[in-house]
Parts: sequence; structure tokens; C-alpha cells
Amino acid sequence: MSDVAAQPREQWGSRIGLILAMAGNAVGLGNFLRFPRQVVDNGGGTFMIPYFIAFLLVGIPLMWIEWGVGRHGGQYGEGSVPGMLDRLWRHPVAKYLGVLGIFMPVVILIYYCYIESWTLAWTFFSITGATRGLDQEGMRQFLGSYQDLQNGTVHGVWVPFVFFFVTIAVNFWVVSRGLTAGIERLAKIGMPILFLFAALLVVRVLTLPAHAAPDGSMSGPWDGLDFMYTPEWSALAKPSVWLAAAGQIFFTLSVGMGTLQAYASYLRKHDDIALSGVATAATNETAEVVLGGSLAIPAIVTFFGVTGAVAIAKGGSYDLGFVAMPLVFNQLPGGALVQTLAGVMWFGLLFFAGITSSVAMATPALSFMEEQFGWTRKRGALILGALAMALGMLHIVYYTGGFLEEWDYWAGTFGLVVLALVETIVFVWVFGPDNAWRELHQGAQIRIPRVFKFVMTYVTPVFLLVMMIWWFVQDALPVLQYANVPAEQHGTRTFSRLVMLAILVGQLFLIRAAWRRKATTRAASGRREAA
Amino acid sequence: MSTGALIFMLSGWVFVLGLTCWSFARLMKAPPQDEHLPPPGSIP
Repeated sequence: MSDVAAQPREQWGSRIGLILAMAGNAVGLGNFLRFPRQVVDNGGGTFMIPYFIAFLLVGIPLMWIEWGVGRHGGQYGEGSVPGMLDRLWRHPVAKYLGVLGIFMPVVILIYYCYIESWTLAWTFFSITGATRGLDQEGMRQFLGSYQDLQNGTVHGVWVPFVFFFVTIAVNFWVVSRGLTAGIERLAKIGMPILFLFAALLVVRVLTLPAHAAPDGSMSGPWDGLDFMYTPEWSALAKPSVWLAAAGQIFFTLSVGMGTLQAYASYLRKHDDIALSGVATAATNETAEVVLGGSLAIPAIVTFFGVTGAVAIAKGGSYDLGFVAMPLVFNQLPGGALVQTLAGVMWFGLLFFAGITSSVAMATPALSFMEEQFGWTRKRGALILGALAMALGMLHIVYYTGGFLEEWDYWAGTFGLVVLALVETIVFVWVFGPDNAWRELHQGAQIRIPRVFKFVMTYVTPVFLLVMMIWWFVQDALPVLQYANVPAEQHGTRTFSRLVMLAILVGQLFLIRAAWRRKATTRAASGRREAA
Repeated sequence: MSTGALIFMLSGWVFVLGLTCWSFARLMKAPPQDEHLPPPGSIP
């Protein structure tokens, strides 16, 4: 252990603060943008059955595994995955496998903050009324202009940079204040606001009268819910629906990223993780299924019909959130005030969902630098913030060239399954199923049903392995070979991959340097004791 | 909205809301000594 790690670590101020911070980490943009798109893309009700099954077989077990890995590592002063895996598996390779637990949060943090800055910008545009009166094409141009610096005609080139800088500054100001005064306080303020805004919008959406869709059919919000909860049984035989559902559970709970482990490392040895893990997962599911599911789909079906909603979803999550939803708000009865309020609440809740997740993504790298190299939290926040700002600008400049898509696929999609599989194997198989089970029950306030020991040992790893192989064959290989990518994007995408690779290699060197430093410290203290 | 869809939706909502309420109720029942304050000096 390094000198710094031997000092007392920060702890969570209260259990409710911990749960809200953990839930804030899990509840993100995906709950309100990705989830509705996945539901629409995968046949509505057909998607929901494998979704709930995946929640029980993958979501909750992984939540417990990550809390367990994190709290176990925290007892040795390790707040990031390299050190945590090293403590579970005393093998030289373990720490290097853990690099994924600092690489992915850093990479995702950078592009996530860029998307988060859109929500801040659209909150501002909702207040100024910049999107009022635009039709579907106008709204698309408005978003397209913001994303495309070279060809945008609506916004000034500096506009995306300003909102991005503000977003980064707020994020790193919060993390620089530390665990209790920064992250926990943000969660205690942000999460209630998020739930309040979402609940008010759900009430407004579900009480909308039926409208005539562009195809002439009359549809209301309940038709959207009907679409979402009417399963087409034959579609359940499609493996793609099951994998999409498992994937959504993965993203929504923020597992396989290294952030839950980092937060759990600040727990004490006998703090409960069994019940807290369930509370975190359940809070996230309430935000996703009850609130996220009752917002975008019912609202869009009301104004565009089921066919229109499916067509919008094909355009992607951003079209759904930044084109379709403002169009819906423009048509709300009650005049400009109601329309403005709805826009502010929608983009405001997205901003809070985003920031409570992005501050969590900064934590593993900061903990690593604090514990391994003795950096202060403020110094770490300043340097990581500057790095995020510099690399984030590449996303702004090269967005239309597919720069962000590359990071989102390799770190934000494929990488998550790889880390989840690695940590599951290390925690359950290498550390041992009995040790893992004991670790989860240390200080537990509930007894986890014994069937979950079997699920964690066999079902979850097999599920993850199948998911990883399927994604590798179906997606990763074509993505790697630039299949279906216009030739003019190849250069930008290659550059994007090289930047990611440089971050990964840099972090591997840092891990090597950190362990050498530990070895030197241990040898020096051994010599002192001998003397 | 069809009856089947309504039942499916309500079952899903009851499941996630029930799990949330149950877990928070159990957390709130934790004895006060389980709550701990941050160590001195950790809040600037």
C-alpha cells in the first residue's frame, strides 16, 4: 500500500447520501433516451419480458459483485479497479486487467460530458424560446447545426464550446470538493429535482388528449403505453431482443464501468452492501421503467402515432430527445409558459441525470492518482478536468466524422461487457464462490436468496460470455473493419481510435509505475525495520 | 389500452416500485448507530 493509501480515506456521510449517489451514478441519460429507443426498436412489449429477466439474472447479481469488489478493495485503501483486482487475485496480470476500470470511465466521461452539455444548452434554448415554432425539419437543422461546426448555419461556432466548458467546469468543481461535500451533496440535491421534474412531466404527458397523427390515425398517451406493454410472443424467439434487453440492463445500471466499485470502496468493512445494492438497482429501475418509460414513448406516440414513433426511434436516441421531444413541447396546450416549463424540466432532468453519472466517472481515475501517486483531490480534478476539456474539444470538432461513435462503441458498449466478465470471474471464481458469498454478507441487512449464489457463479458469467461473443461477431468485427462507414470518415475514426489507444497505453504505464513505487516503498520500510 | 397490456404494465410498475419501497423501508429501519459521520476535517 502506498503512503497515502495508509492514511484514513474519506467515507460517505450518510446511507441515504450513499444510495442517492449510487443511484445518481446509475440513473443517467440512458434511462430517458436510450431505454425508450430500445423499447421501440425491439418491438415494444416484446422487449420488456427479457428486460425484467435480465434485470434479475445479470443486473442485480452484477450490482452485488461490483459493490463487493469495491468494498473489499477499499479495506486495503484501493479505490480503483486495478488495485481491487490485485487484492482479489495475487497475480501480476490482475492489476493490468483492471486498467479497464479506469480507462472506460475516463473515456466515457469525456464524451458523456459533451452530450451532457447539449442538455444544458437545450435547457437554455428552452428558456430563450429558440426552438419554439420550429417544425420537424427545422428542429433537425437546429440540432444538426449544433453538432456540425463546419456546416452549421443556426448556431455560432463558439456555442457548443461554451456549454461544454461550463459543463466540464461544474463537473470538476463538484468532484474537487470531495466525496461528502461534493458528490454526496450533488446527489442529495440533484436526485430529488430529477424525480420531481420527471414525475411532473409524466402527469402532464399521461393527461394529454388524443391527437391526430400525421398518418391520420388518432392516438393518445395510453396508446404509447399499450405499444410498450403488448408483447408479441413470437418475437421472443429472436436472440437479438434478449441481447438488446440484457445490454440495456447493463448500461442503465452502470455496471462494468468501474464507477460503482469506486463508490463502494469508501464503505466501511461492516457496512451493508446486499440491501444497498438492491435499493440502488430498484431506484434506477423506477426511474427507467416508471418515469423514463412513461415520458418519451407516450408523448411521441400521442403526436406522431406508433408508426411515427418507430420512425423517429430509428433516427437514434438524440433525435428522440432533442428533436421529437421539443416538437412535442411546442404542441402542448397551455401556451408559451407551459411549453417553456416542459422544455426546462425535460432538459433539466436530463442534465441532472447526466451530471450525477459523470461525477461518478471521474472518481476511479482521481482515486487512482490520489492513492497511488499521492495527488490531492483538487490537483487531480484540475488535471483530469483540463485533459477532459482538451480531448472533449476533439469530439466537438470531429463529431460528424464519427469520432464520438468510436469511443461510445469500444469503451461505452463493448468494453463494459469485457470488464464485467473479468471482474465476475475474478470475484466469483478466482476469489472463490464461498469467499465472495461471505464478502457480500459481511454486515448485510438482508440475507441474499441462496439461488443467487448459483446465478452469480454460473448464470451471470455465461450470460456475459454469450453477450460478449455475440457482440464481437455481430458488431465488433464489422465496426472494426469500418463496415457501412462512409470512406470520408475513415481518417477521423482511425484518429479517434489512436487517441483512445494512447489513453489506454498511458494508463497501463501509470499502473506499472504505481506498482513499482509500491515495491520500492515496501523495500525501504523493510530495510528500516531490519535496521 | 388493452387489459393484457394494462396488467403487464401494472405488474412491472408494482415490481420495481415495490422493490424500491421495500428496500428503502428496510434501510430506514437501520439502527441510528449504523449511520456514521464523515471523519473530522473531511468537509472543507
